[in-house]
Amino acid sequence: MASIELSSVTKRYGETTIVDGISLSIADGELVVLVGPSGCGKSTLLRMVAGLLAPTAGRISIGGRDVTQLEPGDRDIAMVFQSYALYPHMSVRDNIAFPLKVRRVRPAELDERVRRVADMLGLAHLLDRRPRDLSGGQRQRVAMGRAIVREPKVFLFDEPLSNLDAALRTRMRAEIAELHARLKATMIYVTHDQHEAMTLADRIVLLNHGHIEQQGTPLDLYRRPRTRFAGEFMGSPPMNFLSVARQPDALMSPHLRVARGGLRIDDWDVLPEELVLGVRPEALRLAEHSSAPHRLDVQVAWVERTGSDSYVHARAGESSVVARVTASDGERVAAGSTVTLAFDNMSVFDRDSGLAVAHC
Amino acid sequence: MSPWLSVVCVLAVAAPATEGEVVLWHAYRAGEAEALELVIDDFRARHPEVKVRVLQVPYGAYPQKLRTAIPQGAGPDLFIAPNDHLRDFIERELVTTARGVPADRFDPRLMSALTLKNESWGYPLAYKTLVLFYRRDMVDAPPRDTDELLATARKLTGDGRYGFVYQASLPYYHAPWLFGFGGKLFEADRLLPFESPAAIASGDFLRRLTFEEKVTPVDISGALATELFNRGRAAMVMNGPWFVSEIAADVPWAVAPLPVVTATGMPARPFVSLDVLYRTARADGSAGAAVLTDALTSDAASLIRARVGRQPVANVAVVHDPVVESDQLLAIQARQLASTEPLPSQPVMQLAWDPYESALRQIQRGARSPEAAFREATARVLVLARPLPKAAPVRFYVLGALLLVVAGLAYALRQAKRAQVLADVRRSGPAYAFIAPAAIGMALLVGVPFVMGVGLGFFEYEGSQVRFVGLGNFASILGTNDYSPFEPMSFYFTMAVTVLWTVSNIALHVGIGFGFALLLQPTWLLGRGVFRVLLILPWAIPNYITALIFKGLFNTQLGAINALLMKVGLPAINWFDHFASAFAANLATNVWLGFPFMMVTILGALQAIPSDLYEAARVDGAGPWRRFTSITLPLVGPALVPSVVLGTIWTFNMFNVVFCVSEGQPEGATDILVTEAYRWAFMRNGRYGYAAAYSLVIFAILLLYSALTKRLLASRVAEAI
Repeated sequence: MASIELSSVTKRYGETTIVDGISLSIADGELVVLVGPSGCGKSTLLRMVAGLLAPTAGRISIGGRDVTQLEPGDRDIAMVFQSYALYPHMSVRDNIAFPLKVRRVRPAELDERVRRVADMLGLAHLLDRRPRDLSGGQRQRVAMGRAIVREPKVFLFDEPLSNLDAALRTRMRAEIAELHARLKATMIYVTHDQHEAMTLADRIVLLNHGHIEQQGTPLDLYRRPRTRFAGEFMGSPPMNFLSVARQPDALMSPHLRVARGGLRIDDWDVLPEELVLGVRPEALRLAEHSSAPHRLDVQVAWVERTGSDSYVHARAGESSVVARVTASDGERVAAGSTVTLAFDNMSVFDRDSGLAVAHC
Repeated sequence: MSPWLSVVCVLAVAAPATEGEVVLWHAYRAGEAEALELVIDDFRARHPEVKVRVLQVPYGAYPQKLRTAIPQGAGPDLFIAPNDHLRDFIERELVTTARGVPADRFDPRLMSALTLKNESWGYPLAYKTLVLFYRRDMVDAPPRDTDELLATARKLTGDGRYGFVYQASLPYYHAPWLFGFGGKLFEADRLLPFESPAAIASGDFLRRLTFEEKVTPVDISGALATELFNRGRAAMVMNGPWFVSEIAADVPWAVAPLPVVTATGMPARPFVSLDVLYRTARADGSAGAAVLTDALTSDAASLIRARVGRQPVANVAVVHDPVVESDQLLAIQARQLASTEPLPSQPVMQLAWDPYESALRQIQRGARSPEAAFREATARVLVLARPLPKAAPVRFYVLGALLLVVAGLAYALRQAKRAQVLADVRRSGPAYAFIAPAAIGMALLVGVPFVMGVGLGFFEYEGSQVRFVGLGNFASILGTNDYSPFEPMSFYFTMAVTVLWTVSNIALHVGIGFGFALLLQPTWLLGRGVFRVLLILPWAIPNYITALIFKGLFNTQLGAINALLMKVGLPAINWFDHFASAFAANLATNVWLGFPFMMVTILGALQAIPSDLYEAARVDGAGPWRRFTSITLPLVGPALVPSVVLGTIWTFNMFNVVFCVSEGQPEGATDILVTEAYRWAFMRNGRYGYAAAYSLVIFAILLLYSALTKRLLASRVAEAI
């Protein structure tokens, strides 16, 4: 087991900077999820940790050892690829055994370790099959088996679930979480799916344009987004944003008034004049059933019903607003009508810089 | 050739003559053709009542066309051809006796060459013989005897120049020495053994010229001899009258009769070959043909040939014509004519040329003593001229063939029924109708020649007679009666060479192709596209051209490869003297031709391997070699197998390289099965049946190979991806 230390890691291709001086410490046994939109540099960063890409600048150390110049095979890491990268001409057994064979592990020990991993992952009956004869979930497990059998210090996952269907993805996510609990290994997990990030991570590192936008526990990122981007990216559907102007006693817009009293902001007067309120869809309720202090009048466009919940898609002036309400509330709302929504929690962002100035 | 094919060939050559028309065939070109045209124009003006149609036939296929057209009645009334096929023409009854023109019009020596069985079989129009050409700026006076020849040549040799140049490995060019030393080829139509004391003396002389004193280069083609002479790198050239038209305008040249052989005091006696006007049966009773014969052989026509065509002519009256006498070449040809031998026209000679040439090659390189070389050539001719297989009982074979066909049909029907082929055909009727034209075309173009080829293997030709010999040809090939299986001339030796040839080629094609494919794979490589095109280029050039270029590169005295060896202080290699080096020369040529195909296949297969497999392997700790053996090789393999199968079949039958580069040297040891089959068909008196049987054996071997690999493939490919 090992900690990972990245200091000022940079990757550039010509003029284009993909990863821009990222420094990050990952504790022994921690499961860190790198998340962000496509092109944010998360996979590039992971591949630099793996040693598949050389950083343009910066250092990477694993377990206190500088590995920046080492080959992937010498870093004591294992990696699970998005495509699984199973060797198509080898049986499941040979796929799992490959890293051990390369390291010249004795045959008896090798058999024992392959069997143990196969049992752990429920692959014992598939050992003689070829990858093409397996389902997506089985292939995924073989890829994990090939990683586990090495007993490496660090596991790297590169969007391992994105080729699976929704149901399988949920199950495999649970298996990975369980695996982490059992192996207590350091893991870096890359995904673009904020849901996966929320459910798996000890810590989320949100990347945007090659730098760290915010890092912290999943709830921390959910509740206290440091920037408007963080608020928008984490959570589904994304946060609603409403432009407001700061008045001496309230934040005002034609559809909305948030009294200063309810906000508990101390240095009110130094706040910028132009602000944006961030309200999560799940924080919005129908006003008639809520005691929440703040009110928002919206014009309903349409209602999306999922069974358990309803999503009310509406407009408040220029801004579009989504509210997640109970199924019974959803039935009461008609498209085209005007309703009043109530909310309690919100984040306040500077309109120009996008930085959060308050969370209430 | 079957009657059908002959008909097709004949129709391609000429439409049948219309009534009263006189048809004349010839193979003349350039000045000689021009002279003939003048004669014909003159004839037409004088004899408007005779319609003449003249057809110029390409030289290469001329005798073959005569053999097929004349018996079909589609041939000419008169034709002009050399005299070396005379006996063949007589045996096949293509020509009739010469009648109507007084024989004393012609030089009696030439006329006697056309007299057989007390009859004359044609009229000599012109003759050709070897003489000595020399550069006046290098040679003051032409040598009078062979000692002078050697002395002069020695003086003028060195620094990339040669004193005396001729195509020393060709029997036609060795004949002057053979006869000058007192040797003989025939005695009363019987071919004598080649190793007479006189012949051995002539061989010793050849060995002196080429091997001991090196005043004469070996492996010289006619074009190369011309080139050397024009560039001042050859002082003297022995060649025929055709050489004149190849000499560059600025070369000061002269011509002399061949020297006297000092040892015997007799002049060197080259062959004399004749342009003969033959008459066919159609000319008998045709008044027009008689008039035209008279006109073509007249002194006036002869004079035109001499003046315009610069042909040495046979008419006695023309020899003293002032124009002819003042033409140096014609005058020397006339002088040389006194010491010539008629070109042998006995059919067995057609079999003798090749072994004789092989003997001369060995002598000129010093590889064997003249006696041993000639002795072997004699033995070889005896094998080639052995009696054809005996006639086989046709009835027995017809019965067997019928049984086979019935059994085959029954089997096919049963299979078709089992696979419900008929039901499929009915269901997809229109689809089959659409492919029917192409299928019928393919069946005709591939199927008919195939069936005829198979049939041909059971027949033999003797003169114009076709004989059914059953399995006799196959028994003769596989029984290898004349040689032990370990000798180069035996089927099994050739087979072993062919297998060695195929295996070593494919190994190198794949190895080198793989190497280049790996080098060209990285995406960061600059100019990748350019390199790719450059490396594919050898494949895009017709392979016989490449083969001829390599043949030149491997030339002993003038080739670039020996020049390079000598530059770095290594001795020059006589590439075609030894099996290993001749084989290596062939191999180098075919590797050059063959690796691009494998490279392209492998490049494609490499690009189909996902890059994350390599990344996964790197993470798993595999180094470059391990990645190559565990990922690249097993994943490229399945794509490579079909190419290897295909490449094997191509290489197994790679005629052009073997035939053009090593030409089977030494002594046929580097010949492969397909070149051997070709030699039987086209270089050994047209043993078509034997050659067809040979081809069938090759076909059977390849069929077996394909069946085996198909089975192997089915299991291998099923396992892979």
